[in-house]
Amino acid sequence: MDYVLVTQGLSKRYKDFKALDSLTMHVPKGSIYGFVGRNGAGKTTLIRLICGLQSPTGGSYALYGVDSAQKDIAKVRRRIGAVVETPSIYLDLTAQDNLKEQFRVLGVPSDEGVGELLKLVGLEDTGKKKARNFSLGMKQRLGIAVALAGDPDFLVLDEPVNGLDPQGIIDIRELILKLNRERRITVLISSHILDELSRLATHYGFIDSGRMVKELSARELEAACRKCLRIEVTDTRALARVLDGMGVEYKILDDGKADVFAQVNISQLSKALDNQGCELLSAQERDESLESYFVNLVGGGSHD
Amino acid sequence: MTELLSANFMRLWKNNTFWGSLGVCVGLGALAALGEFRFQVGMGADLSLPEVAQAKALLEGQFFEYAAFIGILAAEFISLFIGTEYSDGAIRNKIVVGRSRLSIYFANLITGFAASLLCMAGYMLSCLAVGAPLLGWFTKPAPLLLWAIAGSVVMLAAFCAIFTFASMNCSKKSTSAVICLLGVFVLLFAAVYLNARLEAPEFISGYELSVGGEISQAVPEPNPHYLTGLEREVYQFLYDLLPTGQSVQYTTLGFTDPAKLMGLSALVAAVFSAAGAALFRRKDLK
Repeated sequence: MDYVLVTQGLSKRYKDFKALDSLTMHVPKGSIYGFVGRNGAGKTTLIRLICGLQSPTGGSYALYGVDSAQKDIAKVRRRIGAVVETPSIYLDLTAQDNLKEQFRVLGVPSDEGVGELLKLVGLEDTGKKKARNFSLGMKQRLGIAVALAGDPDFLVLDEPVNGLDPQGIIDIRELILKLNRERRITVLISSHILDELSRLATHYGFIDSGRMVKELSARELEAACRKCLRIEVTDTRALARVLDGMGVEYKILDDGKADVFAQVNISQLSKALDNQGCELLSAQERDESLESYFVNLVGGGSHD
Repeated sequence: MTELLSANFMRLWKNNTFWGSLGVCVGLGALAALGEFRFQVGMGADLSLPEVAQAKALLEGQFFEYAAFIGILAAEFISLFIGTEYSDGAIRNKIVVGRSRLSIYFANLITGFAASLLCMAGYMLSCLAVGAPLLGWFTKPAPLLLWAIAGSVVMLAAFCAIFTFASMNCSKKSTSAVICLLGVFVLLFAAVYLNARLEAPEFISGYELSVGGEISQAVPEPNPHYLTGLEREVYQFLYDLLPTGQSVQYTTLGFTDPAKLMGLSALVAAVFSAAGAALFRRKDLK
């Protein structure tokens, strides 16, 4: 699999505080990678590092296969667009002037693409209105437009829907999906709004206390969160024979546990297992949401 | 760096602080000349006589006034211009797309210097346009005037290097504005103090009041505050080194070694730029 971003043991320490602790992460090309973690988990720190705003105190990262220690990393950054925390826009300039400004920073010879970008983010009618007078959603969309000015292959968005109203959230979601599907842009989104993320992400990375707890695809997560019956038995081989006989879908987790993805009659199952010389120890119905999956993964400790 | 300069100058063109500062300089230049003319006329001077205007060197007296305040203006403009990059977060857009920190630093330094230089030119041109017809042309030797202009340009570069150093390494716009403005006033007071110590007379001649009520001049006594030897050299060096010290000298055309002043300003500019760029390279940005 091709990866846009790979981090290896990436660490960042601020005096006595470890913001990132040997973080390892893989963002596949073409994905929408949901970077999930509670406040202060290290999401923004990672984004600051990969955007070159800060230097790691340990480990390394590679963008498009180019290691962060190499000189060419500056050239590779040309392929990135990012909105870190708040949208980076000049408040005393119009939307158009903000884009022209970024075109100059990038060395784009003509301002021809400005209109198209404004249309893409739905700000084509803002005219001479200064960014200072924009709503939060408009500022966020302008920030994304500025990030898109260099026609990037990799877009990094830090909490893009924070503080937005429902319509603003929908607008940003649709924009991200459009960019990913139509322009094949890989998107890394950090968020703690899990419900919103679950509508977008194709891959997930769960971070806690600066460490990557788990990385998985949306399909894997869906399977993990699928409604099922978790069964504990003394012999999973016997269980497999019984379940095969019943024609139901299941997944063996270890020597004593399995998830069954069907409604089964417990009495019949217990009797069938007994005939195979296997004991049914427990049966528990599981129906995990992304939220409960996250809580189970990182624990329900105190938040910042 | 040309891309960054192009972006900076586009922003400068649309920057209200810049146009406001330029307007203030143009206005001050014209007002200085006009005010001097009104003052001289009020004092009964006949400025229509060329010899009167020439003897007083009136145009020079107003023309180089910019050197006294250009540092304050540069402090205000640079701290706000660069501070906006931090407060609006736009500096991140440059780094994220791979522009080097050195080029960002020096592009901002050059932009601040160019804007300050334009304000300085605005003062000079308006003072000249209003002053020449009213006060007469320059009377001091042309080389002296050219040295003063060239020297004040390098002095301005030193000011800009100091303010860029502070503004690029302080992430808060309001803090950097306070640091720069406070800094320039501290430097100004330091220059005034140094000047006062250097200008102190070697002897003090007081007056004596006799019992009969007659006032007579006393025998001059050595001034205990008069600087001599190494101490005087150190004070003079600091006075020459400080951009604000130089600004006093250029305003009054009271310099003796302009090449030395330019060299010292160039040194200040180089040291602050190198140190500022080195610090900014390692700075953690949010």
